[in-house]
Amino acid sequence: MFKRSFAFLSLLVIASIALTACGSSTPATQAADSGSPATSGNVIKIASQSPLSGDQSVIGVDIKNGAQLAIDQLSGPLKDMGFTIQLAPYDDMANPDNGVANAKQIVADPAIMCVDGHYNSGVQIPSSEVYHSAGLANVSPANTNPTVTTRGYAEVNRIVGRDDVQGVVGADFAASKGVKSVYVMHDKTAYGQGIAEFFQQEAKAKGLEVLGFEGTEEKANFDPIITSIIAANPEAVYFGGMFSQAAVMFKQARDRGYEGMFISDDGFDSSDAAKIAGDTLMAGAGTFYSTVSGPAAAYADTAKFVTDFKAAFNHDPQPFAAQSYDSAAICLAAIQNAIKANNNQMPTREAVAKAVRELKDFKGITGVYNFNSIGDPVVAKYFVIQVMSGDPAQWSANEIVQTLDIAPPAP
Amino acid sequence: MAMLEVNDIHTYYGNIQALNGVSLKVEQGEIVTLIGANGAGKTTTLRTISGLLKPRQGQIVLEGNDITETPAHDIVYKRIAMVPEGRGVFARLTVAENLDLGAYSRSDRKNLAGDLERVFSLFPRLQERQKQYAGTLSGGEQQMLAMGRAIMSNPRLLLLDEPSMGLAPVLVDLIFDIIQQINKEGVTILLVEQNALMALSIANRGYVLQSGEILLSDTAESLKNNEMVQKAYLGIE
Amino acid sequence: MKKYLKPINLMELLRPLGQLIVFSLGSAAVLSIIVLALAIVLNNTAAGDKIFAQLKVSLFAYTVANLPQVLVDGLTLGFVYAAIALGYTMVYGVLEFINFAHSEIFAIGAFVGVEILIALQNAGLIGSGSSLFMDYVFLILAMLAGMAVAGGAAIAMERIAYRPLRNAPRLVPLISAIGVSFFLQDAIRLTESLTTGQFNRIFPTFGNFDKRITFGKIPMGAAELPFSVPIKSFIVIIAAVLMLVVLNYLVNATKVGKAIRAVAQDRATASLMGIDVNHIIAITFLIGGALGGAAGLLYALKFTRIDPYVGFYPGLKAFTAAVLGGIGNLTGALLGGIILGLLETFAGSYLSIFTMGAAGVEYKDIFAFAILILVLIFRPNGLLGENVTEKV
Repeated sequence: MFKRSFAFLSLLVIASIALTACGSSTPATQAADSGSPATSGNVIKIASQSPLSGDQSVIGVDIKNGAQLAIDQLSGPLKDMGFTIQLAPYDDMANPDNGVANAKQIVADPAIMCVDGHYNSGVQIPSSEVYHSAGLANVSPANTNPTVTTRGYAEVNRIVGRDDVQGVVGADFAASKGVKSVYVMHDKTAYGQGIAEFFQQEAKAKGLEVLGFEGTEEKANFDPIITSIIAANPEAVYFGGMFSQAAVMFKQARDRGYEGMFISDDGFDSSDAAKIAGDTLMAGAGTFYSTVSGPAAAYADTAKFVTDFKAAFNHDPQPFAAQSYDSAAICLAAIQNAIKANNNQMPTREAVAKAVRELKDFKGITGVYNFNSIGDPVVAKYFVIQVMSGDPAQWSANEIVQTLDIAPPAP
Repeated sequence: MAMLEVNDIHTYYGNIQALNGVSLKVEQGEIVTLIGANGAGKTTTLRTISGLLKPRQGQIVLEGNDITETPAHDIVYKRIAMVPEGRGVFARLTVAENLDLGAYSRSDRKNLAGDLERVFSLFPRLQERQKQYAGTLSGGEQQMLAMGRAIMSNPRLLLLDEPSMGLAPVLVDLIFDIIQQINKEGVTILLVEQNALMALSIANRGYVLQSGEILLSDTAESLKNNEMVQKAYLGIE
Repeated sequence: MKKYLKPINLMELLRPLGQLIVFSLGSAAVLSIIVLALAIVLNNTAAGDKIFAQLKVSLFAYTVANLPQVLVDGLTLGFVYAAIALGYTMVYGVLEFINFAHSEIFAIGAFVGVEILIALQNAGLIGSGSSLFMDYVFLILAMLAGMAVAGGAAIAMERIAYRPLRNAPRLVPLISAIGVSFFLQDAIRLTESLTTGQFNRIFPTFGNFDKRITFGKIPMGAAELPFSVPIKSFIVIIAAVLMLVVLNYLVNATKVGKAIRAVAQDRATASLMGIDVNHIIAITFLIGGALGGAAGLLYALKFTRIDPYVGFYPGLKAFTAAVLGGIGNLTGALLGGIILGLLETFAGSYLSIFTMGAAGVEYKDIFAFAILILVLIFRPNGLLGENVTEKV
């Protein structure tokens, strides 16, 4: 009897732990700055939400830093009008639960007028429901899933392209390189799976043979998948998801002797990819990724930003740092407009959200922005980039092989 | 000086008092028995002496040295061995391994072979079953193993807890013969038994324990003839 | 002098090797037969047609051609699980207590080893230009350091979080273990963040561990599949086998091992033998922790990337392996690990093909756990669990 109940107990424990795995493996932490002093009348805060810890913190920390730099450099006019601008950085840990919990704290702080965030679409989508319900403006520097804007929320905007376009860009690129067959992988997140599905659709439309379409949350052992890939022997492998999985998989596949092309998305754009996979990225037919955020050099006006960023934070900006700078700048401009419209008084959140959407030809360092009726930029840049070195320090030297200006699908 | 002196020990299980001031003495070379009904505190007394339980009050003195605070695993190094109630053989170890564990405390490894022979001469059955798991032995054999294991520690004082429990009468006789034999070879014995008649027939002296207190103490002969003892413990009306 | 040189019991030393070969070959054969049978059955169905349309080979030929690689990958993974499972089973065997924090002990071993190797790489001692011999020496040193720290952490954990609860109801130390597990995850994270500024660490590239030994090409229709095994897989397998052999010898043929088994069965009586129970339990945690630490570095070597939560899934699976094999039983842990590793790899490699993409690699864990549930329903004690009725 005892043995039976032990067996039952162990099953129960396994089941409960497995079920809560995603949430519990990244326990919630408080935002770094949630304890700032109570708001006096003229303090306005801009919140940032990005993964400051975990796999993707390399990118997330620079999203925060980009916002910080924008506030440091661009809040002068607001200061002259008598308003103090502060950054309230939150750590969403790339986890929807943490993102939503932070979002609730954010809307509860009346001084916060605008949110610059998130990095992960899977986090932005549920978190922005909270912003929407509170009428709080959200400018996303990095979220590419269509749903971010297709819900039509008046508060939610982004300054980057969309996965339904990015997936298409990746598939078109493969076709342009003469690839005839492809194996599609994704990470089962809203972002990765979404982009992989758009890739698959376009690949089929362009006459490529899709030999497999699989999702996995595996982070370490890709042996079984690689067995299938090598047996299918596609000319290219596409991974919709983040570098933390994709780079490990690419390395293991290359080690196993796969010689074809690797293609991924902007989630691959991190120097840690080179740290993980090293020179294996350069072997065979090479590694490419599409992105909505080119290296700093891809934009005409980022030279000063790169210098200032390096001076302030002691390292090269990671991808999306410049976009985050622009998102925060858009927040600042909108707040300024809303204050002016309110006779130099503290504006309402609704007024700020409206002012964001109504900005005309806002000139940021990564481009000139106008938002359409659902918050997509009317034209977004897309890039296809080739990895040029296995050395993480050389990541920013990766070469742009295609640049495209594409309008979003009609809302 | 008595070999073992137990002075007024009070032992508790949690908040329940099991011993309420037990005192007894065991002289070198004696067989002393502790008799009493179920729950009188016999086993508790042995477990307290062996260090498995700590008394809240009172002392246990071995040849003038206070061993009250000595933990169980050091007691055997004072050459006190205990055969616990229910034998406590290691069921999933072989007979040979059980005997080997009996000698765990020994540093004089060179004498072990001789002691093993001594055990096998006392219990030839164990020699036959050396490689068998102890859990597969019969009750009587397990009792032999538990005693053999205790002998392997080369004790001067052997504490025996209910060696006759659950055994067929013929085996009980055998076990008691062997207890006497061990005693003749110079091992002092403190024997706890429910089978009071049997115990008193081989003991020099006895104590009667009731509700955690010593009720009577006398020579075994006198206790056997004591009317109260006869009524209560020997089943003689 | 002679008394210190107890003759090595060769039989005891080699016994697990025999079991190992039997288990590996046995489970590999059984699973191979199952997939081959499935392949024959599915050969003439839509699944077979689909694979023929894509690759111009029959499903059966596809299955056969991929089998060697799948078996090698599965066994390697199985040995990793087995190495971790040994630690779970060791502690369970003695305390009847599931040390859920073992997965973090595993992570500690991985981090200590990897940090040392990264430091050596930064110091220029390993990496480009270093001799292969020194590469192996440093790998072994890093592993020993990982084992030492992980073992120490396990002892500390037992002393602080478990010993005070030893007589509490069974569920209490279990909860304590889960708490320790979370605590250690964050402790690793904090330490790494404070010292290195990041907590995702990459096993440095050095030595010849990534090199693959090619055993030739397997023809599959017109194509040829490379069949090769990386050197690191051999290292993982050899290290895991060594761990089992040493552990088995320690437990079954030494004085300390006998004391451990005595404590496992009856603590009170063991203490009557002169065995210091606390001491033996601490040694058990030390051994379990050191094994976990070694497994951690092997894992990092095989799979490259680690983070503070790296122990969670391997730990869960190793625990499963231990239960599957019969928890408390060293050989069972090995068998469970091998079966689970093979199952997972088989499911991951063939499920998608057999189901025409409907259930792909993402379902491999569900598959493995379903097997566990089935085994436990029919054999609650696990495959090798003993059914000794305790005589009282």
